[in-house]
Amino acid sequence: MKTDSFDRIGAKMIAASRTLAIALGMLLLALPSAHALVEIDIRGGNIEPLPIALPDFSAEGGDSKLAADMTGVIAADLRRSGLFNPLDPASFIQKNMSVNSTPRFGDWRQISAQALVTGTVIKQPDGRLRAEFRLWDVFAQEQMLGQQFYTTPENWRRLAHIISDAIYERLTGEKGYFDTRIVFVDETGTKDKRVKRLAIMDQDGANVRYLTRGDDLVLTPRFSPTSQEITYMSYGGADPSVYLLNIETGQREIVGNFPGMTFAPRFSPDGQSVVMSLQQGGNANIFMMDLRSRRTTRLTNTAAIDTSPSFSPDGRQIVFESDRGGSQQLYVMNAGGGEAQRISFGPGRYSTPVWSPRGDLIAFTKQHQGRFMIGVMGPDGKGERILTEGYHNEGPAWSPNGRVLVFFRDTPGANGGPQVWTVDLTGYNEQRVDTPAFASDPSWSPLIN
Amino acid sequence: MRAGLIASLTGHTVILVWGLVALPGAESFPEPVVDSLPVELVSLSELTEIQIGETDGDIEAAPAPKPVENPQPEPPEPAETVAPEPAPVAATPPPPTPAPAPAPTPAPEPITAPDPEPEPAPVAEPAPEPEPAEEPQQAPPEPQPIVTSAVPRSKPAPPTRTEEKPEEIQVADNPDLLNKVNQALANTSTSQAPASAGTRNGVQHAGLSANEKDVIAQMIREKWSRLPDQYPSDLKVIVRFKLSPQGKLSGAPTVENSHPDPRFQALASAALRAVYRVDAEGGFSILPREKYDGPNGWNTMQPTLYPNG
Repeated sequence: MKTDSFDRIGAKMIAASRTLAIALGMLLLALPSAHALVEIDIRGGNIEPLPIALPDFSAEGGDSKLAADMTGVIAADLRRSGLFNPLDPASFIQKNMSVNSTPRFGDWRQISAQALVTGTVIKQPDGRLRAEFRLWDVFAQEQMLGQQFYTTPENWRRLAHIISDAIYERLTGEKGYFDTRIVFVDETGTKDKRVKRLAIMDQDGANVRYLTRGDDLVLTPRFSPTSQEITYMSYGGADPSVYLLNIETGQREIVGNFPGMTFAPRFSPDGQSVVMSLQQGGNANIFMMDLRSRRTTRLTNTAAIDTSPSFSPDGRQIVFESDRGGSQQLYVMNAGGGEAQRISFGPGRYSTPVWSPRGDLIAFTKQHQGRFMIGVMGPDGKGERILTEGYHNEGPAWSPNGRVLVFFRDTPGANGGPQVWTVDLTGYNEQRVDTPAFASDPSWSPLIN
Repeated sequence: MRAGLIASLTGHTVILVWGLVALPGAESFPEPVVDSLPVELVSLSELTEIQIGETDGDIEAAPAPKPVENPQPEPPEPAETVAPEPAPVAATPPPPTPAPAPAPTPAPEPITAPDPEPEPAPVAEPAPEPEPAEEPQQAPPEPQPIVTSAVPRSKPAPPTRTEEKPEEIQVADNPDLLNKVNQALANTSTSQAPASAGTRNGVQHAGLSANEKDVIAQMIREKWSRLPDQYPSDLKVIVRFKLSPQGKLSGAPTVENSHPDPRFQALASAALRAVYRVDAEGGFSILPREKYDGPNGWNTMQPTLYPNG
């Protein structure tokens, strides 16, 4: 009996060993095939704008002009980003594209398009618009994205921006920034008698609306990162003060009740606090106010001018400018205050620091030898890069995806004045944003949707 | 003092006498026999292209001439050559099927908050069937000769072993030659070992050279679109694709890895596009045909793309 069980165990062990041997044998046989590959390491790539074809969207039910205009807005968005090269429609071989048919990919490859967008705008019986689009990979010959939207006809530009964002995100992997707005100070009148109004526009300069009438001087509007609110400085009351304005309701309120001038406000990343400077005599220190409890906290206490505070996106740190060391330089401290570390050490004066929404860079204005520059550096002060420079550049603000900076550039002379410009992180893609008049102090909204 | 001197002299004398007597009889160290090392100049390719073979297999070509002790056998018959059969064509890529246009993804209503007419979420409508693609059908690749990986191309044909009795007349006809060879053999110790019988790990060819790989890498790199960003250092895209012997894509290239970075998918799509574009421009057709087959052949390629450069 015992012997039998040993035999059985022995037989099982032999069988198991055989199975193991077969498995090992198969593994060994499989190994050479793993080496039957030509492996090549490729480092880097090209950063040329991606050629993309955008034939006019078709219009079902009428408005072909609207469909073409929408296509134009999308093409302009993508072109301005500097990452895409919308191809000349005159070069298109396949005409009259339908959104529901597969493109003749060979025709698009022939004109070097790598991506293709087809779309249609359909007027619904109830008056609304239905827009559909498809994004095609011309070389893989497959659809990368397909979406449809409904909206009212007057919203067609926003719809185009939303489609631009979808295309941008699919082809780059990062969020777009086209369905956004920029708040700025509109400036009219002669240089010595400027009328300054708060205004807001789409990021491409369209749909300008005025938020104040120009009775009071306004400065430094800043968008809330979480809502359709802005905070700005106005000379409306006895002392220049920081205000909150809801751009949807038009409701305005003063932030805090400080004895003295408050200025340079900016929201915290959660939109629940405003950090700003309070002037006391010849000094200025940084305070934070909780918008719910209205409780204020003093963050710096120096005999210098500390101003332009800006939160890191995680809300843990604040970068600000101070002349505590003798000249304007950038400093970083904890969001609760305390000791600050100087991070700018280059020649010249540094001001208006703004922390990137990605957290990896701080943008600033730098003044050196009579030139004004817009640049970026790491939060530790390393890797400083100047993106643009000239007679007068100032006040950078980040796009919500952290790829583009908007700033204003002043021009000399009696007829000169500030204009709004954008520059991307490469420094090569610099573009002016058309505004009805002179414009300064731009600030970018978060994505609207 | 005196006793110490005497003891010292006596002791040293005894040791010296013992040494003189004992050491000459000691066993001498063995003299190692060192084989002569043949030296010849070889090119780099000869060095790298190690022949495939079996170390324990039959030696088919003796490296050193053996003395003719027996009559020369008949010259070996040429080995049968393996006629290349028309091979099953490496999976003809199916003609690009028109992607059935899927219904567009319904997207959120893009109405802004101040706009008074919030609309209900759109209902995705099934998209009509796409029209048949008018893409010209790709001609299937030519039939290819079967991969003869089992037959090393550069290996000499093995001599046919014959059972016939050697003709004795050869020995009788060349006694002088035979004697000279024997004499030479008596004076030298020619190695009978083959210079190299090949190894199991040997290859038919060493695969693409570094320069050839560089050319392919450069073509793909130039066509791989990426953002002007710094990416995570561990972000890479591994692409694999098969090629026909003519250097054309055989089937669709695939991405073999993933990464949590949101930009990975865009980079991966761009990498596939880069491979398609190199193929469309005939870039892979520059690869040498003779290096297509075998374990190191370029029939399958796997570039790994690192965006950071």
